[in-house]
Amino acid sequence: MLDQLAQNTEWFNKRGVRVAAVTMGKPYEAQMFCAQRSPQVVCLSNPDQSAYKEFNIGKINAQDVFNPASWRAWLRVLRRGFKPGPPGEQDAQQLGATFIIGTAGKVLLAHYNRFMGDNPELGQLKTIVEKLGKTDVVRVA
Amino acid sequence: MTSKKVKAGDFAPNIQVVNADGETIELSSLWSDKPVVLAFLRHFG
Repeated sequence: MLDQLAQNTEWFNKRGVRVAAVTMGKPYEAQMFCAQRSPQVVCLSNPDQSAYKEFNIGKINAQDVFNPASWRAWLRVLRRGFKPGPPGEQDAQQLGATFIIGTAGKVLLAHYNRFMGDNPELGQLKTIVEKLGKTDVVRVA
Repeated sequence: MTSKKVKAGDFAPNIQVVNADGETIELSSLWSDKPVVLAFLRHFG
């Protein structure tokens, strides 16, 4: 998801939308990771996963390991040239999620990954952002 | 901690996180002035 967002950050920014990523890394790890992968994305650190818990983002279960969709996602990552490595100190079971949140704090889209690589379609995010321009107050910094 | 998943139309939970400079910020500061696409990532590996 991060790579897709990183490649499209300018598109979102031009429409007055910020792109941010919450990671489980320590601040310096998050800074290094995002500098390499997504310098334009606002990168945040949440090593205790409190934000993940607050948003009630799930974890991988044993069945997910055998889910063909997980393996297809894994292959997509490899094809893009990234070589997934060990999680280090981070929680390997933690799944991801993507939200679009408006200026009033109201959630406009909530996508919880059901398995590894189950990310929302970029087009879906863009469609909501395009509509947002007509329904929400959007200011460009 | 919330017990339900957040869905469209709900208010997003606000919690403190740390930015890349090591400063503690409110998550809500991300959407206070403009909408945000907020991605929670898996591990760095």
